Amino acid sequence: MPDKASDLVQGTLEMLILKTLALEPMHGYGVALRIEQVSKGVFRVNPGSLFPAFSRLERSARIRSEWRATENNRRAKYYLLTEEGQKALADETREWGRQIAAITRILEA
Amino acid sequence: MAGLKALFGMERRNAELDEELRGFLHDSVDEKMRRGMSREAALRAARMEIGSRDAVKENVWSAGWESAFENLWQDLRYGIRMLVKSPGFTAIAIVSLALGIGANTAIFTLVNDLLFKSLPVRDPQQLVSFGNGFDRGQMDGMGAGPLDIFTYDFYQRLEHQQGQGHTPFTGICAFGSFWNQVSVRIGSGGNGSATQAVGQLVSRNFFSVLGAEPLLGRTLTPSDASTPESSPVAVISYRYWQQMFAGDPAIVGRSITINRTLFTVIGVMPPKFEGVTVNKESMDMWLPVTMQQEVMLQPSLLEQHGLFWMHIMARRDPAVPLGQAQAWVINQVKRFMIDREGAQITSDRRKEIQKIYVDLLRGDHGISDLREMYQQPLNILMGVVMLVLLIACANLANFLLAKAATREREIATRLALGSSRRRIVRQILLEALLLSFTGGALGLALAYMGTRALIAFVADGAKNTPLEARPDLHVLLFTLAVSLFTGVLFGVAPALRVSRISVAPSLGASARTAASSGGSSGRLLPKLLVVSQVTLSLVLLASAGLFLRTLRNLENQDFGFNRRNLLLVKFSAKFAGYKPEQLNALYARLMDRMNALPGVRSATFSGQPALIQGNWDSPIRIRGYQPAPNEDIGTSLNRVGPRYFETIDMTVVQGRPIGEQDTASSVKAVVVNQTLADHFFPHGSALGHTFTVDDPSVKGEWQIVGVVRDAKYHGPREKPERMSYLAITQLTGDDAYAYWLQLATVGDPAKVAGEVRAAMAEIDPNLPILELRTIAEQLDQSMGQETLISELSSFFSFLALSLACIGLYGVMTYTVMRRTSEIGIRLALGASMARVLWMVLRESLLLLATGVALGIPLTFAGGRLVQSQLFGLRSCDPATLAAAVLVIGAVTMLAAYLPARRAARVDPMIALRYE
Repeated sequence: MPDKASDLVQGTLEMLILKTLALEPMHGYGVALRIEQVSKGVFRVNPGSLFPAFSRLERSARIRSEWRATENNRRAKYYLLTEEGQKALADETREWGRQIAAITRILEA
Repeated sequence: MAGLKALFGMERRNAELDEELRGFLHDSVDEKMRRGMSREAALRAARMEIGSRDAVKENVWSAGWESAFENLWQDLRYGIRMLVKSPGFTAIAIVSLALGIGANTAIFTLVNDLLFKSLPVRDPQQLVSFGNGFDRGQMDGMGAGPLDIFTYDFYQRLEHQQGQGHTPFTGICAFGSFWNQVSVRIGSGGNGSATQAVGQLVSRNFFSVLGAEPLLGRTLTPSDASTPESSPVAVISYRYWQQMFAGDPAIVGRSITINRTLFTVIGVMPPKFEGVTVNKESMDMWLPVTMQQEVMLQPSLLEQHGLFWMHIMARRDPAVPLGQAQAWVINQVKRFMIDREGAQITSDRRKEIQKIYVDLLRGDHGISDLREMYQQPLNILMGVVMLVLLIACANLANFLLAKAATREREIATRLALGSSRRRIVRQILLEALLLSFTGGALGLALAYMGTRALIAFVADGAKNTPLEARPDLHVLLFTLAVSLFTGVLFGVAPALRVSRISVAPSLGASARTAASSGGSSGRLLPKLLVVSQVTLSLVLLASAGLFLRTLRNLENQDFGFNRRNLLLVKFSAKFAGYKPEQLNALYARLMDRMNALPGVRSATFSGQPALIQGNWDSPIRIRGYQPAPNEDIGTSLNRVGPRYFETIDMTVVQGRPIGEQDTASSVKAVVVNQTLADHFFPHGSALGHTFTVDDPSVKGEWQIVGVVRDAKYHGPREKPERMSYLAITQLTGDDAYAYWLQLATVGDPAKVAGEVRAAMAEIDPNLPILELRTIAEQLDQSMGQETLISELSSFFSFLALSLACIGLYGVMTYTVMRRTSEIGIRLALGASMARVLWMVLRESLLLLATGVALGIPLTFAGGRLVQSQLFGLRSCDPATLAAAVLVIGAVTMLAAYLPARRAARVDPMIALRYE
């Protein structure tokens, strides 16, 4: 299957991560899996893009991380959404909506 | 914040990331197996997805700004390696930078000392000085114009008003305008040898107005110095305390004998405090002005109608605007002057007084003679060293350009491998900055040594001087800024060049032909730089030539007296305690002894030597001469003993010189110079006329017995002025004291110095020799500024010229190198060596001509700025300019000829294969 995730613009990937984490805190693979599943395989994120995105989000204090035990009793780093991140997600979703609407209008004009 | 933590926790972060990635792999494999892949297939697929773990880590790492930091560190190390690889180039670069930056720092240190340092007192910006403080002492007849010198009773008036709070200041203080040399004995017994010290007379609120706190003990308080002759106390400087008392902790309360009067030391000032004057000599002590008579060994200057001899400084009330304060001061001065003249003041005089004013100048840098003397020269020198630095920068820019061109391949490879262009440009700039900062650091060290030499020159033999060679914060910041600016300046050109390198052509095998035919823009910049170097060098050389000729012109003048074989000895009979009636006997003994010395042709004594900076003058009233209104009827004065004119070789044109026959009982005799005679007695002889001297210490009527040729009395730039020589043996009181012996010697006067000292000690061991120097040294000192400027500007202009030549040589070598294959083809096709030589040289000639053409108008423009420093020639002097052009032409042609000759000798076969 074509790996379309690399076509994702940097900012969009971060928005998707935030949305995923808004549902519940998750570890790295969990986020990648969820994005792939919900997008029905359209977006497959590889670690090369995922972890830098996590790093950027952590720096801008939109997510935070903590080490927890997984279902299999292994240690994994879980990411949680912060308040700042929630606000950012709302803003970006709104913005994204506007852009989509504009593009749609142009395409249907 | 998270970034900073990341910087330090890199190890931990990497470990964590590793663990996360392992977990990711594990989960990914689990998921794939759940979807039905075999374990190996799942493993392989998962591994492929993740890709290189290191690449992931790298991506994460470079997402943050710490990566920039690490890049910087890498670039730094790379830059150092590249520089170390070409040690010759790096050494030359660093040395020329060190010279350029060091020169700038050295001059700036001096400028900082004189112009920028604030007095180490409380809130120095509130201090103002009444006038610029250059006058030393004046009797009367203060005319219209700025006033900066005042009487003691005027100061008392102001102090009284200050006490009542009627002034726009929070405090007003006064201090003597000249420093006094005093004879000091440590200890109350008055035993032990006497040493000389330098002291200033100050009012009792001097320290409190300045806000200067003592290190030990106390300073003057209002209870001190309230009446004349009271408070024999002294506040000494830190340096004096260390030198004379070895830092004795029990210094407060110790007695010292100053000029035979017992003083008590009441306090020691901190090390940085030098008083309010920044001059050659540091102050050793501050004494209350009420002790003036004891300190100066002269009649009181403190009474009404006394001399104008004090400077005044005040601390402003911040709430009062400056204009208001100034108006108040001027008002006070005018009222004082009118009151002083008394009831018989004429309306003309009143009008003249109305035109007197006082400038309230900033006092936070203190008052400085040195500043006035050296400000212009230092500014000029600052311009000179800046030009030198620019020339060095141009050199470096050219060199770096050449290096960048040779590294084209390497850079193109790096670009192809994915480095960002910005990173490479940054790296080039970093190399430039590395060079400039290293040069700057070395320059700082060079500057320290240079400044010490400069200060030794400016201070001119002063025992201790407030000027410091050690760099303070200002100087360090300056050096840093200059290094930064320099690095950026010469790094920009090659950096820009690099940013235009495109990958494909540079990597091709045919790179050499591409390069050798060369983009014309690539060759323009080096040429521009060389042209600018030639231009700047021309300006510098021409200026140096002008200054040198000025110095020569000054030296070659006829001074009117013997410039070679004269020894000057300053002594003080007053210090040794001689009363006026004992002086004649002393003089007789001195003359006998000195004349008997084998190396001495003739000896004399006088109040001032043949050439000295200070001035004693006074208006005179000539019997039978009616001066025109506002006519200047003053003359400079000197008091001399017998054989004065014979000793210093001054020609007597009429009448006779002062001689043995002029005694206390004979008619008072005076000899005048030609200018005075011509002015007052244009028709007929001056001989026989008499006049009185306004200066109250000179009593009686004086008869002109002789006329001498004009001479210079104070300095080489002097305009002709009137001079009168009074017979010293006919003066009374203070004026009877002669301070100078002048000895005409048979050979070099320096050789006789030792014998003279011995002879003086024989006559009276208590008679101190205050100064001893030859007339040549005295003359040199009077031309100190000019010497400084001309020597330094010559040095720097030759430095600049050398740098420019190195630059030209480098550029020509490089240019020739690039054209090697072209040259080889020409030679192979039969061109003669001479033609090839000419082809290459033509280019240099063009550069030279352009540089000179640009330089000439620039020199004229610059010359106008320094016209005030010149003497005896105009700044557009063609001979000097022509000489400078010739020198530059010769030197640059040589620098261009050598690589050209090498090129023409090249074997065509080698040239064709050159890559």
